[in-house]
Amino acid sequence: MNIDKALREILKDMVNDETLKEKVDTEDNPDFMKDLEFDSVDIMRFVIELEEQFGIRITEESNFIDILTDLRSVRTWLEMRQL
Amino acid sequence: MNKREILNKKFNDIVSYAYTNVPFYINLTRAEQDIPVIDKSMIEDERDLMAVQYTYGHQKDMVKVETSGSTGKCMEIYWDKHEHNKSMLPLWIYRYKYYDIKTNDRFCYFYTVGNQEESISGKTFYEETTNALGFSKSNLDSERILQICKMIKEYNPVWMNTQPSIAVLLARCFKKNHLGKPENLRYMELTGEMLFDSVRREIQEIFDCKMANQYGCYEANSIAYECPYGNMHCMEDNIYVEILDDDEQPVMDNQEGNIVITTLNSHVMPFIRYKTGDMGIVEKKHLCKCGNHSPIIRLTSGRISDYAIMRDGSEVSSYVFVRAVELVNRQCENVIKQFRVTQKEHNYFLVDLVLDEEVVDAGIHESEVENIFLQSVNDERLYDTEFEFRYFGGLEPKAGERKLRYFVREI
Repeated sequence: MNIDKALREILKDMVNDETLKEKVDTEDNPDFMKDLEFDSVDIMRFVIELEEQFGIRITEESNFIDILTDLRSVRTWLEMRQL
Repeated sequence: MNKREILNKKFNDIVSYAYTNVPFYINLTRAEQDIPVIDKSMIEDERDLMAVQYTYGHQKDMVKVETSGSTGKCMEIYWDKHEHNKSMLPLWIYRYKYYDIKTNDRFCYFYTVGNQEESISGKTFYEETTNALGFSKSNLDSERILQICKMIKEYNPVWMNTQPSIAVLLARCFKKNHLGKPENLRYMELTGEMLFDSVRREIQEIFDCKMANQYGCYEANSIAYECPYGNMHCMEDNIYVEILDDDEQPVMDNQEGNIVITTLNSHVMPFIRYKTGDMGIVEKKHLCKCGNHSPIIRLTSGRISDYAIMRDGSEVSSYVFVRAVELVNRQCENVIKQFRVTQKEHNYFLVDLVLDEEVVDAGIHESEVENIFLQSVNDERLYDTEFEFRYFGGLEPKAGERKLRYFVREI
């Protein structure tokens, strides 16, 4: 599975604005709060989507706050879990 | 770096940032290697120097929240929007992790002023959003409580978020009227006041669901949250917690002292070694079964809500006075800095106020404050009551109190 592509699909489904959808596609490493304007509720929705699609509980991690900042940190965490 | 080293680094970084960028801290006398402990009274007169909102980011990215005044002192808190969101996230994550509460689950809550036009003005006693039903804390007489309980029953929330004193009123009403708990209700979060075991048992008996205690304040958002094993874990991603004695020295593990916090994610208005006014015990070394290794905190004294007692024996929640003060402050440029209401007789109350002199000098008169206050006390049982207003330069906790209590009943 292409993790990067799957994550971008989840993010695109979550944002309504076309400009933000474009950012998901074009930004190398979109920051959830600063670039995609997510609030804490949006990030929780993202967490639940992640768990449903990947079957992994990110909330078990002690540093989940640091992981849930941008696309790259989530992708890196998922890749390490799947090794 | 391990987790402890990361947290120490975060603490040192925010301290260094504050003492370099925030005028309030720059002006504090600081001995070498010594970081002063501050409290709300020190900040009150230096509000403009506490926040760096004009230099940090843009105004549109700012969030302003106001302390509820439930400690008797009112303050505006500024956050960077993203940092505010970041500080809210751990609580959502733990609600989900521990109790399977999701952000779109229906819930009920209680507000002091409200977020919608009609609830702010007091025209309605409730407000509804997509998945939440909120109720005013004002005017909670037995008739209104019953009305609210029926609405809660019909709304059928998955969870509720309220103060213990209000949860008890609801529990008693559900029991007395044989309403039966809402079918979907499976979690209650209790916050804003000390939670005593007897109160907890009374609420638990009626609502028969998982319950968690949440300790926080507007200055920092969530400070600690209870896991399913009954331990309140510090929110280490948000907050650095210390327990200090009265000489501001750290106490040993498991010894009681003053709770002092440092906000780790708040660069607009950082609180560095800030005395919350609450007392507690911290246990750093523990093996809690929930797997969370962050320190466990036990509150030993904190905010307690109380009721005014009317001649007919009914109880009026003291939140009605918090609401009145907040509405005065909304209309009068935060003129009330401190307040305390004392019930001397069933129909006679003293209202002690400390006003911001600059706002008074700018043209806000005491009579205006009093009129808005009286109009905002919207519990009809208080309509024939006499309120005597007194003005002071400052209010101190009474003998034997650690924290100023905003409501005192002397009957």
